[in-house]
Order: sequence, then structure tokens, then C-alpha cells
Amino acid sequence: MDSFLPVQVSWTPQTAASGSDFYPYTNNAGTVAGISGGDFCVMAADTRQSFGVGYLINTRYQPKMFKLSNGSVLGTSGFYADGLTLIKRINQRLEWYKHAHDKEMSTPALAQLLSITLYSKRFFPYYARVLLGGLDLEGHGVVYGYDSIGSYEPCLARATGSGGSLIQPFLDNQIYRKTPLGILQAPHTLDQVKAVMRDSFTSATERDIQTGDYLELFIITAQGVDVEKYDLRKD
Amino acid sequence: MSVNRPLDLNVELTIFCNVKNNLVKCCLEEWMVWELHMSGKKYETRSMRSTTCRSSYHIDYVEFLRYLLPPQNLSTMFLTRSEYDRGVNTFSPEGRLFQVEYAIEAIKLGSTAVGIQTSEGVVLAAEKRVTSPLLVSSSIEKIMEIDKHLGCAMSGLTADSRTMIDHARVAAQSHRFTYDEAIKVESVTQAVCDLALRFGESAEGEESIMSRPFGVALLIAGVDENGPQLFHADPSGTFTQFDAKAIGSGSEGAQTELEGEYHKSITLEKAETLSLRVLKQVMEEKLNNTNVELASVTPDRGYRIYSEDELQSVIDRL
Repeated sequence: MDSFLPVQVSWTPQTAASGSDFYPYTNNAGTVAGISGGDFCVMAADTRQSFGVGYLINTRYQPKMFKLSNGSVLGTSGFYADGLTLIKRINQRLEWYKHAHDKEMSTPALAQLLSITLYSKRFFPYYARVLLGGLDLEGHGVVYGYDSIGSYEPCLARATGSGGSLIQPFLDNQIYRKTPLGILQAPHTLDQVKAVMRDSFTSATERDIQTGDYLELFIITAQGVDVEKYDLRKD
Repeated sequence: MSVNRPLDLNVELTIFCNVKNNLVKCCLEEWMVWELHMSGKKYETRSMRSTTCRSSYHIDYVEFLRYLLPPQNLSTMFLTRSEYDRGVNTFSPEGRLFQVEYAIEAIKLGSTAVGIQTSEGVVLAAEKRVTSPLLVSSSIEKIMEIDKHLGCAMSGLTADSRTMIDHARVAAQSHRFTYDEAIKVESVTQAVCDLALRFGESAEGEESIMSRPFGVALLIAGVDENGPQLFHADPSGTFTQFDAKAIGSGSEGAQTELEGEYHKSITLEKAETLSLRVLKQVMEEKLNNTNVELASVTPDRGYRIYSEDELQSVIDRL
């Protein structure tokens, strides 16, 4: 998946002379995760914003998940400015859709729109790893996972961003229940899912320097979106 | 022959198209027709079917003008109207767009089409004018599919409908591509109507596709999350939702019949027979399974056009 993203070219006098050291991306990283349940969806993200892969922190509190006007939640990690622009574009499309079709866009419709929006920048991608969470037309929780250029799939549990590779195997075990005996899926309650999320981020914060400070949980149900905030390690 | 009656041309004479082979198609008031007959001259070459007090005739253009007007009035005759029906985007001082109004008139010359909405689905029926026994009736297509949940019946200059249906199909597929869902019936109707006023000179950035208004009216039937629905779109770009609607030459009689017979709890089966019964009443030829088309859009089966056998079984129920 990472191979889709441009690779940073190291600076040399030759590249500087040719102008090919132009690199318009930076990685502000952070982690986003989502778990879908029978009638709910829990999206989670830390709030640290780092500068590059060094030890610099821009801010300890910059939310990277956004509640959209149709009740879905979009989480982005990677290059914050690109994520922000993507959110603005998506919000605009939601508004247009509402006026054109006299209804709110459903989460599955938004999932497809997000996919083609990302693909429309196939050769100058948004450096954003996104997760979309919400409820489908039947009211079941859904989480859609993406790569940076628009491939997507609905999933039960998905983690992405700098701590994504630490959290995903944990979710595979806890939510998908992938074991040597096969997949033993069992429905989870909201409280169980929230506990899994908090454990995931606590552990990821231990090992990933770009994840930390605070954890935000967006809990999406038919009643709306609740936001909860928890502390994470700040070192 | 002199004319005793003063003429108010704005009201009484509408010239549809340019003179061709010295013939012109006119809308006449009944008294004019009567006087034409009484004059003993055979101006009338072919009578068109009429549903209003006006009738359409192909008549000898020069002879007709000579009959109607003293010579000095010939030049002033066209000033009243033609100044404002030359430019397709020019309003008349009374605030009318004549070309659009003429386009709506053109639909009244088309074959009749009927749409009926029920709680189980929507029925579309259309008359096919089989003008010769040598004509292959299956080559006339008056009902078409837009998407699997959308159908469309037309009346008027059906060649124009190709552009509109093409646009509707693109809009429907584009919606599926962008949102992974079926487009709403109202949205696809809106998309078609957005085309309707894009004639004449184009605005900046908008491409004009036609030099004149469309001469076709559409009945767009479909099923979406709001259930089965029927919309009527006309050349002015106006669209309206109907429980039951008739368009084309027999529309007036057919609409009256529909208004008498329609009720909210009508079944799809009853709507099939009602639509054919209404067509039967306004058609000149005897209705059979080759000179009408019947289609339905239902939640289960989507758009479906009836085969000749299915059509025959509906006719047998009449």
C-alpha cells in the first residue's frame, strides 16, 4: 500500500540544479481506527500532530476526525493539509448533493464518492490515509478503509496511519477473532468495542512516536454522533 | 374573393413552419375552416386530427393569404408575430417565448402516450401510428429504458428524444458511478429538463446543443426510495409529478378519461387495462398488440417492456 505514495528524494546538488527536489508533501502522521457494530460504529484517532518523522510535535491537540453533515465520520492521517482539503471538498459535495437530490447522502454513497475523489488525483494524490465510518441504509455500522488513491472496502475493523500496522493485528484478533482455528466472529457490544479501541491506542502510543497525547472516540448511532476524549501518554 | 371579416391574427392564425412546396400548416379557428369550405375552393389537402377548437390543416399558402387579406395587409401580417418568433431566445413584449410555445404545440401533433402510477409500480403505454401495412411496427419505439429502475414514454418529434434520453442515461450511469446508488426519478427528470432550455446561443461556458427547443414531451416513470413515481417533462423545461398523465394528440380526451377513472388504490393490473382502454378511445386505428406499446416499472422487476404475447393478454382483459 505504501508503495503508492511518492518516495522522498534525498537532496543532492544535482537534484537541486534540476529542480527535482521539489517535494510538496510532509507527513504529520497519527493513527485512525474504526470498528463497526450491529447498530453502531466507533471511530477513533489520536490528536498529536507531528512534523515529519523526527521528534518534533506541532501540536498535541489537533483533531483529525471530522463529523460530516450526513452523520458519517471521516478520519484522516498523513499530510494534515491534504486531509483538510479533502474534508472541505467532501463537505462541499455533500452540500451539492443535498440540494440536487433533496436528501442526505448515505454513508455507502459517500464511500464511493470518496473513492473517486481520491482517484481523481491519481497522479498527484492527497497524502492522506482515510477511514470512513457511519451507518448503512439498514442502520448497521460500517467502516470503509482506503488506500491513498481510492481503492476501498467495507470492513469490520480497520486501523491506518503511523500506528495502523501496530493496531490492525490486534483488531484482527479481538474483532475478527482470526485464530488458528478459523474466524470466530462474534457480535460485540459498544462497551467492548470502546474498550478494545482504548487498549489499541494505549499500546500503539507505547511504540509509535507519532501517536499520543489524547484519544478521541466518535460513537456513531442512529441517535447521532457522541464524542469522547481520553488521555494518552504525552512523551 | 374579398374578406368581410376583420382579422385578429394574433389570436386566430398560427403558422407553424416555413412554406414548403407552397403548402403551409396552419392552426385555424372553426369559422375560418367553415369559410374555406364555403368558398368552394379545395385549399385543404390533408386534415390533421384535432382535440381543441383549433384544427391543423395543410393548405395552399398563397391562395389562403389572398383569401384572408386585402393585399396591403400582407406585409403587416407577419410584423405582429414574426419579429419575436425569429430569435429563439427573444421574449415578446408580452413576455412570451414563441418558439417554446410552438414546441409545446408540436407535441399535440404527436401520438398519444399515457402513464399511470400505482402503489405497485408505474405503467406506461404509447400509441404507435402504423401508417402503412408495409411498415414494420416493431421499428417504432415510443417507450425506452433509461436505467433498470427508470422508463420513459414520449410524444412529439421523437427524434429529439434521442438526445434527451441519451442525456438521461448518462446522468443515471454517472450517478451510479459517483455514488454507487440508483438515481432518483425526480433527479433524472431534472437532468433532462436542464437540457430543455439549452437551445440557441449558449451562455459562457455552457455548451448549446440545439438551435431550437425540443419538440418532444416525456413521461418519465420510475421507482426509487420514495416509491413508484411518474413525471411529465415538456419543452419549456418544466416538470411536474402526476398520478396519471396523457400526452400527445389525444391527450385532452385521454386526460379527462384518466381523471374519471383513476383512484389512489388502483392496482397495477387495473392500470395496465386502464391505460390501454384510454388509448383505445383516442386512437383512430383499432387497437391491437402491434400498434401500442406497454411497459411497467415495478420495485421487483424494474423497467420491463411487454412482449406482443403479454400485450395480447392485457388486450384480452379489456
